[in-house]
Amino acid sequence: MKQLIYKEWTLVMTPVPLMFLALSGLLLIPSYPYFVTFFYTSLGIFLMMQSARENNDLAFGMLLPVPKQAMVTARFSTVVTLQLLQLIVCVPFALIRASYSHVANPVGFEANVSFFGVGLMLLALFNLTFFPMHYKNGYDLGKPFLISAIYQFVFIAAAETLSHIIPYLSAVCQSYAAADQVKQLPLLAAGAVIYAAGTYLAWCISIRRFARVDL
Amino acid sequence: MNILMVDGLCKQYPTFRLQDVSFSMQPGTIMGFIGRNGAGKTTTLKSILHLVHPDGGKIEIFGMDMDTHEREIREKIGFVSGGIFCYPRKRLHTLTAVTRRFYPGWDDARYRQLLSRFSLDEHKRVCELSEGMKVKYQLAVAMSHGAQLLILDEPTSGLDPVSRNELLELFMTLAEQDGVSILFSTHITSDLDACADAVTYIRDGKIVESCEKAAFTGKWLLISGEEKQLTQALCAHLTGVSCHKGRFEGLLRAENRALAAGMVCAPASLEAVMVHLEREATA
Repeated sequence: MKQLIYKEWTLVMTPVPLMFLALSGLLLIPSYPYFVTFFYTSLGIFLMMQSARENNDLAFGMLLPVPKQAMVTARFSTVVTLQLLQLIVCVPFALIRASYSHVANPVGFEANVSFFGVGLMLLALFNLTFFPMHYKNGYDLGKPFLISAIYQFVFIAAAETLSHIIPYLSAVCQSYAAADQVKQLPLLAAGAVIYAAGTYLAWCISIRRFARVDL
Repeated sequence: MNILMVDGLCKQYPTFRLQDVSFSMQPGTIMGFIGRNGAGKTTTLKSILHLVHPDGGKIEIFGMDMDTHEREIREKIGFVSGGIFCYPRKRLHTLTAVTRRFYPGWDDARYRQLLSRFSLDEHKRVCELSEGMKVKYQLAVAMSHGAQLLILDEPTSGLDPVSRNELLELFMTLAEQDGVSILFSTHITSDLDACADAVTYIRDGKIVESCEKAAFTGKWLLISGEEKQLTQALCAHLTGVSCHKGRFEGLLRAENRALAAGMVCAPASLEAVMVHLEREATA
């Protein structure tokens, strides 16, 4: 597996998803739909995979002495690493954003603990929709990404709407106060569990589907 | 022991069917795998490499079942394609640095020696290499991880005659000096006239013949003559006859040579045999 991971970071990785990590800086904009930051992560992954496809990465990998499922696992490891890196890079920007918390974000969630929880759910949704569709034939990327993007924007719209309806989300989860951020931890934990479970499920389905593919 | 044994391979596609494909290869030999475009050559090679799932049949390489020993087998196989190249913008040393990690038996001294022998500069990008050099790079990698069976898919297509000849000589050297077995799929049959020991001929997803090259071509004679010499009796014995500009040409079984008295009679090349057999099949 470590050979495949080396291949992922040497051949498959492009500057785009790494540059998109810098878009975590969007959290500094006082009024901005911050979940778009996570959408850029998905976009970067999509572009990276498009580049791999155009470079015949599948043919390169399939001729190596590794089982087919290992290629899927290596790709998931790259994706999860990028997504977790995005979360980590977001943290300092969220802390800076908290320093001018008196300026409320009128267009969506604040960049606080609950934002990371819902963001993890959003990434899980991307993994669960995009990868199983892609690995139906190991080739299609555009349609899976389009469908996944629709799901993501519906999810973002639903989350933002609920943040005005559900008292816990509107009162506790839109605050930068330390006490409130502690109360937001269950949402972060729920996000982490959903991300782990969703990604694991996406990996299982992808492996099963890719095993049946004729190249 | 056969280096490769394909037995009863079947694969059904919506518009194409591979039917009961069977053949075997001896160690250290070059086998030409011939057939026209769409005959099933690539599907067969993909099945051997486990890139498609056959509906039936058995594949053994080095005496091992591909289903249960995929990793061991892949470590000893090299695949060289004349048309598909991965990561064209990457430099050769980058691709090699990735590839070598997958092969415990990677021989770096051998790799350096082959780079020098093929005049390959590993600081070049794949897209900067000529088509022939790309094939040579793939061969260098395959030989450096100790491949004992090379599967070549149209390795000479798109090459000029000099580069083609250079590669053919290289294949023969690998088979003779390194004991490598080569399964060589091509529709440029003249390449095989020079280097193949055996031939497997596939048509419409079925193996027509798999035998030594001399046996494949030796039983046919290429007959040509004036159209008026084409009697009904002769025509009945000819295969894939064509008539143009007052002359005819066709294949005649060697044992019927007496029927061709007074006509131009020559040993049939692989190309002549394939062309006339295809013509006969589609007539």
